[in-house]
Order: sequence, then structure tokens, then C-alpha cells
Amino acid sequence: MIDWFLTALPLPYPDAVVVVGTAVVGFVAGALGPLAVLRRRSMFGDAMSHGTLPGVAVAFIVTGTKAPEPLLLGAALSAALAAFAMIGLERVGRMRPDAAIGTVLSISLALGIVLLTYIAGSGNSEQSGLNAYLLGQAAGMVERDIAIALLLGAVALTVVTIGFRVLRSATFDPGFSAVAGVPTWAVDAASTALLALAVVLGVRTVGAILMVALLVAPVVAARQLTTRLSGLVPLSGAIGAACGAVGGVVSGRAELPAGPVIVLLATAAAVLSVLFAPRRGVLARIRRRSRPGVATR
Amino acid sequence: MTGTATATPHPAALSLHEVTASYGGRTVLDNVTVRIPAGLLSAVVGPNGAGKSTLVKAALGLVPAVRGEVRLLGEPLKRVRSRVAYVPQQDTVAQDFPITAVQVVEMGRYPHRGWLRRLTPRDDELVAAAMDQVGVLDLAGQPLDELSGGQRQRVFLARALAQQADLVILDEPFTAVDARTEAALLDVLGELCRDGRSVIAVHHDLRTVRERFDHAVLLSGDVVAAGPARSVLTAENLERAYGLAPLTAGTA
Repeated sequence: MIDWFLTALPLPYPDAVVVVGTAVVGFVAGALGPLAVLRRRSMFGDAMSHGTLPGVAVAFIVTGTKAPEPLLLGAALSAALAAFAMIGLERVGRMRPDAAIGTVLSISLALGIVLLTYIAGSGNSEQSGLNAYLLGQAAGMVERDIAIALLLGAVALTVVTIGFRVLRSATFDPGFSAVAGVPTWAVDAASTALLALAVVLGVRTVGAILMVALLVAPVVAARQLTTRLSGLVPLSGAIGAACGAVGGVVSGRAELPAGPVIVLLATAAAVLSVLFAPRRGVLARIRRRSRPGVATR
Repeated sequence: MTGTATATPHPAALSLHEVTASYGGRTVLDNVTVRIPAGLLSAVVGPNGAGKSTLVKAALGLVPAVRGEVRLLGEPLKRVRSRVAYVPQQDTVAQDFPITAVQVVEMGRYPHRGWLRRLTPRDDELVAAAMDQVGVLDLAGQPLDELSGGQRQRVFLARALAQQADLVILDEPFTAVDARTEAALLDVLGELCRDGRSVIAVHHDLRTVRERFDHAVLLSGDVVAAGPARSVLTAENLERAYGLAPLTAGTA
């Protein structure tokens, strides 16, 4: 099925794999990004993405292979550990959120770099390419990566679709929702898990350091173009997918790391949208302000 | 405590028995016992830090670490969730959220319809009627973050109306609201009470409390006075709540 689709694309096969793979990763990140941005958890997502690095390294040391499944599992477990560490520092350690995030983020990056450097010096011939987890790499994607991304992405988007009303209400007005009987702790846990999933899926392509931009920038771009969450989620996903696909191919051809290219594209989309969006953009607001009698805010 | 024992046949709208609640590691309510009768427009007043918001949040289960017993409409919260509407302080609502006015009001039907099921045509009617009642029906499709403070608060009150709740609890509903909207919203709240429903609002403007509210609870960490609004807001009580509390308790 995937195979048939890839050969049907008017692209050389390796390019087709990269385009489809990065598009899927970008769509999942863009569509789940509102869980970070609207819940004011963007930096929390950033720390989780840095938190994947030690897990990737440990998984490689333990298994000795670069097969995607064990590395993804290692990334997921260690991102979850980072999330629990931040929540623990906040709740038990009475640390302010920004301090807890800063602590976990820098420890994760430090530990990740130490472990990856150790692996690079260990003389294991399998290890080349692990550095992709820092700055991202789209080239070298295989069909199995696409299959995994499609499967996990479908699970995440199904959860979002079914729980849409609960997620929207609890994010928009947590007080009302709690009184109405929504278990807000469960919504928090589910949002964090979904965010972790988006991060883990994207981290090899975009890299741990820049992954957060693929969660945030498509949301910023899409937010200017829609007034409903039901429009924001798919639009943000589409923007993420487009940036992923174009960035993936361009970086491969230009021999650049994929993360920075994808992130620059997504940021450009965000800037253009903030400036020129028809109704909510900066220019539209300025034009409206010069016309009296129209509600502005 | 100068509570007037009103012999109402109904259960109280809200009763707290020896409730202690802390917020951010600090005990804000210490062993508070108070009963707010049903069917009245009631205000919770007091100086900043007196625990007004904490009182309603504790009653609604929004503040953890609560000791004591809370009853809403004579029942524990979990048995009356759909009958209690909450309008939180504006700053606890995500201000820039992508949502339209009508979508906010529709939230009022979720406690009845469930969180996964579609709304029915009957729900749509109630939503439209509620928006009409507070004069925001023509704003239904507008994004919430393009409305004025007064328009926003009308939308949130419409949500409570659409819920058809027997008890409406509002936390500082008139901040960032123009005087005309405040008067209009108070009219709507008064109508609710004439229908036999109960309204409790955390409020800080003593003049409106005296003029428009039936009942008042004056707080300053503890209940200073509770009863008919005019008899609670006496010079003596106010001095006890506002004048001396900051000096003795240090809770300005």
C-alpha cells in the first residue's frame, strides 16, 4: 500500500520516501502542536524533546542497532522521564515551571551529548548517523519509518478526534470543565502523552534541539487563518506536513541537516501569516484601525 | 458570626461546614462555616486576600486540600454537577483561544448531553434563547477574542443560562465590564432568582452589593457577617473586615 503510493509519486524513490515520511511527521507535529501552544506548554515540549536524547543513546548502547523501534521506545521512555522530572520538581520541589523546564532541558542535552560522544568513540561501526538525533536527518528514511509514523500518528489523531470536545473545553476553560465533571488530571496526562508522541516521531527527522519549532510554528501560522480549533488542528497539520516534505527534500539535495531547513520554512510560514493573514494579520489590523466603526481589539 | 437564621423550606444553595482550604501553601480559609440560602442573589464580599475566590473554588472542588463538608443545593458536588453553572474569573480562561461565541455557550449543554455526543436541536434552541436573553445572539459566529470585555462576559453568562442550572456561581463577573453591561447582567441574574434559582457572585463593589443583592457574606479569612445584604454591610462590620484585618492578620 505504502509501496504502491511511493512508486506512484512523480519522484525518484528515495525522494518519495523522504517526502512522504517527513510530511507524515510534520502533519502529526502540526496537528498536535496546539496541545503545546494553547496549553502554554511549548517550553515543556522543548524540554521533552531534549529529554529524548539520553533514551536514544541508552537504547543504542543496550541493543547495538539503529533499528527504529528500540530507539523510538528509548526516546519515548526518556521523554516521559523528563516530563515526570519536571512535574516532580514543580509539585514536590516547589520549583517555578520555567526553572524546572530549564533544569531538565539542560541536563537532558548534557547527558545526551556525553552519551552520544561516548558511542561515537566506542568504535561501533553501526553508530554513524546517531548524530541525526541532534539536528535531524530526513535522508535515509525507509518505508518502515513511514509505516511507524502513520500508525502512531493515526492513533494520536483518533484520540484527539474522539476527545476533541473534552480537550477543547479543558484547555479553554479548565475551571468550568472541572466543575462540569471533566477529570482535568486525565486531560493533562493525555495531552502530555500525545505531545511526547509527536516529539518522539519527529525527533530523528528534525532533531531534539529544534523539534519544538515544528510543534509551535505551524500553530502560529494557522492561528492567524482560522477562528475555530476544529479549523486550527488540520490547518496546522497541513502546514507542518508541507514544511516537512519540502524541507526534507531540500536538505537532502543541499546536504544540510533536515531540522534547521524544516524549521526555517515553518518559521517563514509563521512570519508571513502573522503579517499578511487576511483578517487577523498585522496589516489587516492596521488597515482596520484606520477605518472607524469596526470592532478591533 | 452574625448569621441570620432564615427558616427556608429549601436546602441551602451553598453550605460550608468547618471548611479549611489552603491556596499556594497558605491557609486562606480557616474552619469556615456558612450557609447561603437558596433563591437569592447573594454576594461574597471582602478585602483582597480575604478568601472570596477560594471560598467558591473550595465549594466547587477546584482547590485541593479542603477539609470540612460542602453541600451545593443540599448535595455533594458530584451529584449536582449539571445543576451548577460556574462562571470563572476571566483571567483563568485562555484569552486567545480559537473559539466562537456560540461554541462557548454550547459548552453549557455538555454537562447534560455528555462530552462525546452531538448536541440536539433542543440544545441548539436553548443556546440561541440564552444568547438572545443577554443580547449576544447576533455575535454567535464571532471569535471570542474579538469581543469587548462586556460582550465576553455576556457570552459566559449565556453559557450558564443555557445550562439551565439551579445554582449559578460567578467569580468577579464584572471586572473589565462596562456599567451598562453590569446593570443588564444583574437584571438577568435577578430574573433567575425570581424563577427560584440561586445566584452567588464573588464581588468587590460594595455599592452594587447594597443596591442590587439580596444576601451577602462578608469574609476576612473567616466569616465576619452573613445575612441580608444591607444588614451585613454595616459600618461596624466593614471596619472589622477591611479596617483591622490587614493589621492583625497581615493578609492584605
